[in-house]
Amino acid sequence: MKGEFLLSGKKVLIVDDEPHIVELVRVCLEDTDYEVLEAYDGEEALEKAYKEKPDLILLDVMMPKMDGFEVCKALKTNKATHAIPVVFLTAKGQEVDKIKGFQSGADSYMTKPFSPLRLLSELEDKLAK
Amino acid sequence: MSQNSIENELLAIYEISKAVNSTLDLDEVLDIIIRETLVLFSAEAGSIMLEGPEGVLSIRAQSGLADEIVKKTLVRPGEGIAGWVYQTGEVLLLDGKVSDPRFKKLIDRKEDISSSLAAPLKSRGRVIGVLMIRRHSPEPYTEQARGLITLIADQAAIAIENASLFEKVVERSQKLEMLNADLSREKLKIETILSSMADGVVVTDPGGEIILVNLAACRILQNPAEKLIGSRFNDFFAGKCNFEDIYDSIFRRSIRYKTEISLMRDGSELNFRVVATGMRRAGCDPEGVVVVIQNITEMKRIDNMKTEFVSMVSHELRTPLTSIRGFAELMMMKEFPKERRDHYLNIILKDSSRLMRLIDNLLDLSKLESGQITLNLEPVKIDEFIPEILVSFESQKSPHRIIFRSEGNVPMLMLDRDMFSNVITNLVSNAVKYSPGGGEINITVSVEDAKVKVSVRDQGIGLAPEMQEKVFDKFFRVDSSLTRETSGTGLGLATVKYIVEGFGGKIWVESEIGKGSNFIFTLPLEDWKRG
Repeated sequence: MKGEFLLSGKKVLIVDDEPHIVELVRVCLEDTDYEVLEAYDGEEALEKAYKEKPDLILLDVMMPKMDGFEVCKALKTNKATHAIPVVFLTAKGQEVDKIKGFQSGADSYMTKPFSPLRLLSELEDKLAK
Repeated sequence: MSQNSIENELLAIYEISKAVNSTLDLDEVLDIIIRETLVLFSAEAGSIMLEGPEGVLSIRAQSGLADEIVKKTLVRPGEGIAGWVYQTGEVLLLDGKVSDPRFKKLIDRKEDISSSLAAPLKSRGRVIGVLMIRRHSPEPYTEQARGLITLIADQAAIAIENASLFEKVVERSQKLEMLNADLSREKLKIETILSSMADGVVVTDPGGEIILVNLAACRILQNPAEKLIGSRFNDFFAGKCNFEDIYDSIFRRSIRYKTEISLMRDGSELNFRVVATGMRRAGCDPEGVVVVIQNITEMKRIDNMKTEFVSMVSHELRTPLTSIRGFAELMMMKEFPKERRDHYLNIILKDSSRLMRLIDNLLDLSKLESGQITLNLEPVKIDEFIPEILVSFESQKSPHRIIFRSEGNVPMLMLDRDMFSNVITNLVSNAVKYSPGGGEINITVSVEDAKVKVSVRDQGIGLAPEMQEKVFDKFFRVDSSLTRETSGTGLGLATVKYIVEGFGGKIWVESEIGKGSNFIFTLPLEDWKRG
């Protein structure tokens, strides 16, 4: 199955404070060739983003310490990280939240619950650009 | 006429005019007039008759007449001597010898009158009464008497006019007094309404100068009324609300003025709704503007809380649902080894219970808040009941030592065992959850000031001061890596607070970071009867 993916060897950072969600995304991505990194809060996410320079960040919104919108803003206003595509994956599904997400600089916005296949195609799409 | 009689005349006129000018009591004046007149004209009887409402004369003042005559005398114009004077407005000199055909009746009756003198009382050219005197002496009155009696009659007329004017003045001033009283009652009413209003009221003239403020407005604008009145409206709104805009909206565009502004008060931002209405009588120029300022800070806060609550509920429901659905879908898509499959099924089960628990807690709380829970009240000795509740914690493998202590004689309380157990369970499991390093958890019951006090103290991570009030909010979770592992719904303490307060009690927390937290609640001894 690995050969089917053109975008092998890419690094994806999953940011979510819920261990079950992180595990779920990890399982979704296990048949790809992506390298999966994890962060459980906003601060950890920024730290890993600077250090690991992932190719994509999958970002939750409601997290302790620093919410996803702030994390995204920080990433997009930093030269070192502003080019990394950010895909929100969040339970906040209202129109105002989506607007807030895109205003903070997001490249895509997905709501929970999500379908694993949709998530995969979204990641592929954003990584190809 | 002798020197003596001239002196007498002058003296009498003087007395009369003095009386007219010194008192407004009409009866007193008229009595003096009669008395002086009788003396002056050496007469035995005299009367002053005044016109009544139906144009009939009746006796108002008299001397020397029998009471029954006074009572029954009613003279129509043209009837008798007085009637003739009343009708003609002329002075009449009459003596017994004169066989005047006009008064034939009287002469025939051979009344005991030798001489009569009658003069009209005139006010603004109109006859309003008659002054009449009689004497037994047959000596007729001279023409000189005509002038004198006219003078006296004029004085009497002035007195009557003064008195009636005075009466009118009194009447009018009484009316004014009543109006005044009505006005001050109305004013008091309006002042009371204004000062008891929670909303600020500011009234300005059409130029934007403040002419009236109520107590609430003084508080909102942070100035005493003396300072506000006479000042410019615009000076107190920090540029957030402009009088010219209000005026333009109300009087030029005829639109009700309504806006929301925020003002800094004691370091925090408060929100106000400002609504203005114009004061203008139909067809007249604007007389001013009434501005009502309502503090909507609390309303906004509650509104935000509601939005926040809905958003939190949505998040808390979607999160476990995401993993349930996600793992189920993955397992449909591909085969996993048994070990992994069991692990995912376990996650699905765990997250389903989390959903269940959340829904149960939400329902409990909403039932509590809407008062739908029926309480099963029974007498309980809590110092015996709490250890029963704590038994369930003993079986758990944990590094904590749970210690119960009861101080003094704790009386029987009327309470719902399930509710009380809910409170204790929540507090103790929080204590366990937030003291990961173990240590003691002390549960103490004591009686203080007619209150039962229960305290649950741990030696855990503690709470920062700014967190200590928020912990009782729905969905508030302490920011910590612990929240990830702890499986609370964020509704436990909100529920506890609701139950305790529902029973008239109070709950609070005393805590220090790193040293642990002490959750304390009190229950009033007397009020612990009904929810």
